Amino acid sequence: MSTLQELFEQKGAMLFQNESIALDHYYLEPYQDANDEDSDVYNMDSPFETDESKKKRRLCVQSRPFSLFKYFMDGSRRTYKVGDLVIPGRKIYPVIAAQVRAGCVERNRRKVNSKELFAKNYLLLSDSFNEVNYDEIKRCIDRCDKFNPSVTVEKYSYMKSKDSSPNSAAIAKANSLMHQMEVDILSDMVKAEILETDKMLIVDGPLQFLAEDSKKDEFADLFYNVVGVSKSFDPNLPTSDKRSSSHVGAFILDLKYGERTPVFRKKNSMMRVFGFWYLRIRKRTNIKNPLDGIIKVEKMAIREDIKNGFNTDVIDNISLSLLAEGIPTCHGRDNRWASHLYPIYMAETMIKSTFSSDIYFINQFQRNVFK
Amino acid sequence: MEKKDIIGKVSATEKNPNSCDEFCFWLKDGIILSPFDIVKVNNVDGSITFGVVQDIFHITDSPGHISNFVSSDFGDVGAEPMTSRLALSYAKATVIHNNNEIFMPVWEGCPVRTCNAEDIRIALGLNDIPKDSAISAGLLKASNGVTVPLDYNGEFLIGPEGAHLNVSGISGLATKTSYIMFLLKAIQEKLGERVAIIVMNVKGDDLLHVHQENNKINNVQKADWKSLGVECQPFKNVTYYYPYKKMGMDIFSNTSLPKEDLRELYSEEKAYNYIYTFEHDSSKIDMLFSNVDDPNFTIESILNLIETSSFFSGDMTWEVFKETIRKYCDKNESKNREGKDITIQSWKKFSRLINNSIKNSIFVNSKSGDKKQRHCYLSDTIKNINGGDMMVIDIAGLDEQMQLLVFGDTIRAVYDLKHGNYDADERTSEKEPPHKIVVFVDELNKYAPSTSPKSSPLLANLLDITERGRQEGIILFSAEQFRSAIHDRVKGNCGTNVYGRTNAIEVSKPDYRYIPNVYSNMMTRLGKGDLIVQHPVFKTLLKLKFPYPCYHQGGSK
Repeated sequence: MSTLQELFEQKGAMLFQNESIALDHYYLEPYQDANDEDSDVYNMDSPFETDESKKKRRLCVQSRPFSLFKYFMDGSRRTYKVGDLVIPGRKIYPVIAAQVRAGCVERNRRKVNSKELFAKNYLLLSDSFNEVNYDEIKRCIDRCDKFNPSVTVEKYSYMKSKDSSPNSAAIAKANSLMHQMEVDILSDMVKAEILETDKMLIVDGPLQFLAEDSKKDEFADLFYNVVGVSKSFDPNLPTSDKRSSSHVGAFILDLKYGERTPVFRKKNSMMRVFGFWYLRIRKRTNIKNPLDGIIKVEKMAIREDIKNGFNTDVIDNISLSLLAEGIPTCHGRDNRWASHLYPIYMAETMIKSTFSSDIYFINQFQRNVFK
Repeated sequence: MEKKDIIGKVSATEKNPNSCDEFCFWLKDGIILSPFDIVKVNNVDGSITFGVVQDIFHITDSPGHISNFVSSDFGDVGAEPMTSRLALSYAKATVIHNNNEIFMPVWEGCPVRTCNAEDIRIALGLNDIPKDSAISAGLLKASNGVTVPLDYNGEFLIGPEGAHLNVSGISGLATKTSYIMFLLKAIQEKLGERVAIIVMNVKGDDLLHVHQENNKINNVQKADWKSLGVECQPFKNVTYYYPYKKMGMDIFSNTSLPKEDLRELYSEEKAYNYIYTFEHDSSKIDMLFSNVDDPNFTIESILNLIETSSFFSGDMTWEVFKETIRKYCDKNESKNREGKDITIQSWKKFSRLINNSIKNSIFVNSKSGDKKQRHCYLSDTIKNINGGDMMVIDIAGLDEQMQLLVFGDTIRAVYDLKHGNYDADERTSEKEPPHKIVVFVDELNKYAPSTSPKSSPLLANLLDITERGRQEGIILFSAEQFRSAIHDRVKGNCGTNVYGRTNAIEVSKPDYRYIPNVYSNMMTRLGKGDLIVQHPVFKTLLKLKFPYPCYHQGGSK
């Protein structure tokens, strides 16, 4: 058995392990939609729905609330720098270890149970590393049975134009692996035909699955009964291309409880069309900041929706369901409680309970565990 | 072991670790569990650890009441949440047994199962109780429907290893008398001629029909008796002793028993009327002052004088005795008598107490030869008691002073019998004295109060019995409303303690300090017929039920 450092030495690579740190508190994403590409094209001039009024919509809140949602999915990852790999004589890149989890919970008669959970551990190496050495090291590490779940080696690409630092590139790779897990869960659910119009799925965060997008219709079909809900969003998103454009944050400040904005249109680099809108799910008297209690909802446009926009009634029903999901709350447990839907919080709790502790996980890479 | 028996899993946390003594486990949804239920968990080395549920909690992921308020849409009582809060119930159990004597803490995540009857018997050590000495204690009913007959180890209930039993609880709800009578029935059936029973009836005619069947008992209740292995039959060989008083032409008993019943008992030679004469019972006068404070020992001095002085001859009548005492109260008269060092005030006090006490009709000049009056001396009767006999002494119609006298007389007679302190002609029975004599008295707080004067002769006798009686075969079964009102040494020597329904003030007293809070709180909610017992052989407090009385309970019930 050898340590990770010895393993790399055997393959002629130098790995320095002078510091092992958790990365997540250094690289917090402020907004869930902060990963929106610069190439995304927004159209917020006219509503992307059958009701063409540009005004805010007031939902008819039901005395007996209902919800179309039955499944709630979330993904989470923890990243750690476990060393620096020297590419012979020229460059030095971080070696990142990641715990990646994605899971879905199901609600039956108000009780939430685990539906599916994917858990994997990764060791991320720069793609500048020699391919043969990479393959050999990958084989050795894949054989290691000391990790539960086992560690898989993956490559990450660092591009100066895109990534602020190699660490960020590795973290982005971990995010991508997490999204892939989410898509895999979604595929399983679609194949099993368990999603329906009254048994929909909420994904935590925007529906940003660019790397996983196959560009085919089948990929879009996966999202027919899926919405993405972001509890934090960029309030500075311009509402038009003009230089003097207003920010969406200012527009939604006046939303009252049970009101939503019209659906806006967005197209990403994969030419996928999305509709997104903002909904206030918390009375303004009950929150501290004016933007608390507002969620950003996203739905992928499929087939006729792309041309005509979304059916307003469908959007209203989805919005009413989201209003109903407003209670109970995770108040006292999470600062984002005003916008954090409780079943998503439960999914998050379930996923996070499967993480190994930071100290335990990092120290595994210092031990004599690799064959 | 089947999965369906699993009710939860062991839970150990950083802040609440498991220990050798206790462990926590979370419960599966829908499981019903109660304090006192017994559960089992697999432990190291293939052993099984048994625990008794001490408390059950329900927690959610809400950090505070404000969060719950917010989660109900900021106080909207009509708000209907789409999702139930993450919530669970968990229980805390105390370890009582491991079948391999391994007391390592149980591991996190181990399945917890309910126990069947055999498991419960193993956990409580009931299988270790020798069959010869097992005495039925009642039924343990678990939440999972399992019912287990419990047995006391007789050697710890009625000696020689341990003895004496005390039952406390609120009148009318705690069923103290009924439970003790059930135990006495079990003892009579088990020991037969090795035991004699003496019962004091203190209320109405509650215990004046114990030889008669209970017509109100139904088949289900009878089945309980059968499951305990005790015959559902009234007591055998019962004789009743009433305070003497002329009540009519042919009735000479001061009792609330209906006259027809009394006549029937007379005809069957099962009823007698006890009396006290000066000649026979002058040595018992001290019992009348058991509850009187005598800090300067003046009453004791007077009693000594009465016993030794020639002025108080044995063939006096009570009236003459009282008159003689009165003379001592006269300054002039007392000059010529013994006991001049005792002050007039003391004599006057003594005279007043005597006059108040010795006016009951049980005080007669002499024993009548007329069989109709059915006179007897209690102490003589007790000295002739045989194994298998049951004496019921009615003191319900007497005032407190008289009750002290009668009970004190009884206790002293039992003590003398077992110690051989009697003349050969006092015991005419050919049989040996019973191996064990069990005395049951209700309202023990009257006879052994925590505020009892140190000089009380009755207290001294009771202490003798409770501290040394187990080896001598004198067993005291007692009952009272409030255990805290009993003398420490008397209740402290009771090997078996039983608790019925009581109130919150009582459970806050130091007597209940050793009982876990949840159990003592349960005592304030116990139903009629539910009791919590503590017995040396049981590893924990247990909650049990006992069957409906098999004897006629009299008019008051």
